[in-house]
Amino acid sequence: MDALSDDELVARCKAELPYNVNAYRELLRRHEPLVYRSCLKMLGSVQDAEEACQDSFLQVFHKISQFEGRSAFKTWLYRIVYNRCIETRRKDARRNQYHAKLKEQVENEELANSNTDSHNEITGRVHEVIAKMNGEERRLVTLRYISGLSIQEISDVLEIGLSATKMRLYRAQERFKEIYNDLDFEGEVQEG
Amino acid sequence: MITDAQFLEQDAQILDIFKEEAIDENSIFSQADQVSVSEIESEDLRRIERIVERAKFTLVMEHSLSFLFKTIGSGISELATAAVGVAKSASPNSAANKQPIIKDDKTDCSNSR
Repeated sequence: MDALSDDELVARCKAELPYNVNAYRELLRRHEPLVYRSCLKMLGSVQDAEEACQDSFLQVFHKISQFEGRSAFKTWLYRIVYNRCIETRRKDARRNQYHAKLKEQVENEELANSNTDSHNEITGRVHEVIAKMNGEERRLVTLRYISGLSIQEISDVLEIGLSATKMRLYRAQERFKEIYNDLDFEGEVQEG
Repeated sequence: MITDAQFLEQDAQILDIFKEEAIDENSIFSQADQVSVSEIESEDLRRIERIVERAKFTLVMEHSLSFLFKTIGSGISELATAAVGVAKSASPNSAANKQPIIKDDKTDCSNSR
């Protein structure tokens, strides 16, 4: 199974699911850890991230027969994950509109305080910066620098043009730098 | 409007920041597209198995529900047919309840005058 490409695994999934889950398990083994970490960064809560990650892969399980291979499997997967994360955010906002801001604050704190060592995750200031970004900025930075998608892949996931993707990502990068430099400054003031 | 050069420069700067501070073996910086077995932690494996189990469970549930609905559906349809049959046979206008009209051709009408 290790030697097979994603495309070959997808083909096997189409042929063998639901009776044989070996190829599906291999796809999970390859992508789930990074998808989970991306969800964690996008949503900021362990519980939401696990749920979003699980739901995304269940959707893959049920819909893989409909995957036509017009894009790479990874792009298709991240489109599902991205949409699922947005949906989770919207549900949260609807459920508790008045306390949305408070919740975001709590989630950000949770994200900032979560145990990063156990998952070998991003630590330090970068972690703090991501936690301070807003929803869309956080999702874009996560897709680019945590999930490791190319600009073209992000453009496919978001289903928008390449230049629009660059523009949005550029703004997110600006924001990232701004927060990062502020943290640097705060650190210097505290040390001083 | 930003130029490609501006974008790429900024992108490289952020990548550098991540490289300096973010040590995530599973991320872009490992330059490996796929996660090797040794890098998967036991917590990851537990989550993966949970997903596989849940996928199987949802499939069983789907099949069971579809079987249940089919059974209930056919049961209801049979009951409905039976009920229609009973209603028809109980109706006073139904053919079974209609009294045959007996024409008595032998009646003598000659004394009616």
